Amino acid sequence: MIEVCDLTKRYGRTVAVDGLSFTVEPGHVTGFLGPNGAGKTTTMRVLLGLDAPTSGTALVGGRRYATIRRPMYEVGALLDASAVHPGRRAADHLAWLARTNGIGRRRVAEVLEAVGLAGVARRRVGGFSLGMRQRLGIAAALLGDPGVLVFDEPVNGLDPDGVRWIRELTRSLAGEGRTVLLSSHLMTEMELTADRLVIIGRGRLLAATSVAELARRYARGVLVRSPRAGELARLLESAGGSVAGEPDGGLRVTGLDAAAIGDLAARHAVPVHGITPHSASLEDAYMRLTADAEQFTAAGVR
Amino acid sequence: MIGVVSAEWLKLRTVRSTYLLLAAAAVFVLLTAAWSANVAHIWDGRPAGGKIHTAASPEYLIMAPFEVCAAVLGTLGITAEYATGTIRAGLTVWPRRLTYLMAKVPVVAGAALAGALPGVLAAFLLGRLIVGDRPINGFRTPLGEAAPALVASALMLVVAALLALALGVIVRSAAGALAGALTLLLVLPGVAAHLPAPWDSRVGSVLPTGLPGEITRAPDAAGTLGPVPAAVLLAAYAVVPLAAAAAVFVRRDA
Repeated sequence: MIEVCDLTKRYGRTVAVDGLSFTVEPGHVTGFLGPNGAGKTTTMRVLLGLDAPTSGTALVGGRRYATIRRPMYEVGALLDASAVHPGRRAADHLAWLARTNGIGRRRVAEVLEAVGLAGVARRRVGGFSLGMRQRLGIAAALLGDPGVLVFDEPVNGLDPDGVRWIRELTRSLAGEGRTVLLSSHLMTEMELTADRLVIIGRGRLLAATSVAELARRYARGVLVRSPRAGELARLLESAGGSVAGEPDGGLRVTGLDAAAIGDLAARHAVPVHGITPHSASLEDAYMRLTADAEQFTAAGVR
Repeated sequence: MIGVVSAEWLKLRTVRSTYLLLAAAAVFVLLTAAWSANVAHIWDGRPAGGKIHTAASPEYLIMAPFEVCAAVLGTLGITAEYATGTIRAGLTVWPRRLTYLMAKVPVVAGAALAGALPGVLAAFLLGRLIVGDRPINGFRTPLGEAAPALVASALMLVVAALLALALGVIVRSAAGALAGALTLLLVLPGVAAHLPAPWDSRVGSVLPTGLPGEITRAPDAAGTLGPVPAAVLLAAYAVVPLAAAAAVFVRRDA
């Protein structure tokens, strides 16, 4: 459980996070989305006690991160996979992190095995690809078998195998009842991985919703094809839908779902050749949300 | 706290820079041995009337290169973490800033002492062994008499490493911290030596490099400080910067 409450972080005169509030529940993968510079990393840094908030709070399991005695057992974090000493061997990198919390070498070997790096445990991290470093960073997050996982841009720069691996891993971690917060600036990735979304822009909350709800909110209606389009259009309008004609003779119906349209047509014996619900892609929904935020800010300045 | 100190120790011994520093220190010891051999060789080559009477001692010559090694050791103890970004991983697994920083002190100090004391002693002993009973000043003090000065020099190197660690925390850059530490350790003593008397010795003896001499000076000899104030001042060269570093480190965003 992560609770961010009215969080503001300023760096000098720059406002990175501006009155942000959201919660992340256990048992789901929550995608933390926003364009570059929206404040995702700053929020995560404050959450992990690295940066002090200007005002507001960010709590993990009801506590400030800095007050947790052995945080590795409660929170696993991957902030920047390239933040490793290139001269250190993979197992040694994990071992020093583990030692701070009293975790032994056996657990280091286990997590290296779990992320598929057991074969390169004695190799220096400097020779690792970005994908291997991401795996190493995730291994570090898993060392204490924590109930909360916070990953900042874990799929950045990964090949398709790596992307799929992260997706399956995070989903299975959430399936075990853990709280998983995953940041990204790519909606297309989150669409496949996350159940819930926290979308921010310019440090402010734009939407805290589920993937399904976001798709519904930006639904573009249902495309209906019928040889008796004119008659069907009148029926649909009298049933409360609004209908627009498409250039190819189809009808774009909003206000009624596909089931209601099909039932109505059947009741009046109007033949229907196709009913296709059209939802905006989540990508479009996300672009529209974040674009709105930019316009809002620009208008505010004027 | 034991866990985080042990983690620091593991960090130190799992990077190559530590071993490179040790190797560099060993090379410097061998260079002082070569110097001692050269002194003996010159002494032997001169006719009885034209013998050299004084030469720089190897335990004195080893100090400047060891000061550089100590400063590098202390600086890298923190700036390597800032340069690579591992500081954030470290503070995520151990969020208590003060103990995170203080855990570095015994490890850096221990490593500096473990390198400095045997190194200074080796330079001294090799010098005596090579020059033997040739009566050259700089090579005549017996070990028993020189021991306090050798220990004081090694402790000064420990202070130098801790001072560099503190500067590294404050400026977060290896280049900046090294420049600061080496200015204090190598540049300022040279500048002080060019001040008009009596300021040359007054200033020179309160700089870290002058303090081992003040600490071990014979009680009747004239000087700026007594042994006890000199020892306190030497400790202050580590403690004050570390306190300043801690004050910055606990407040600053990582």
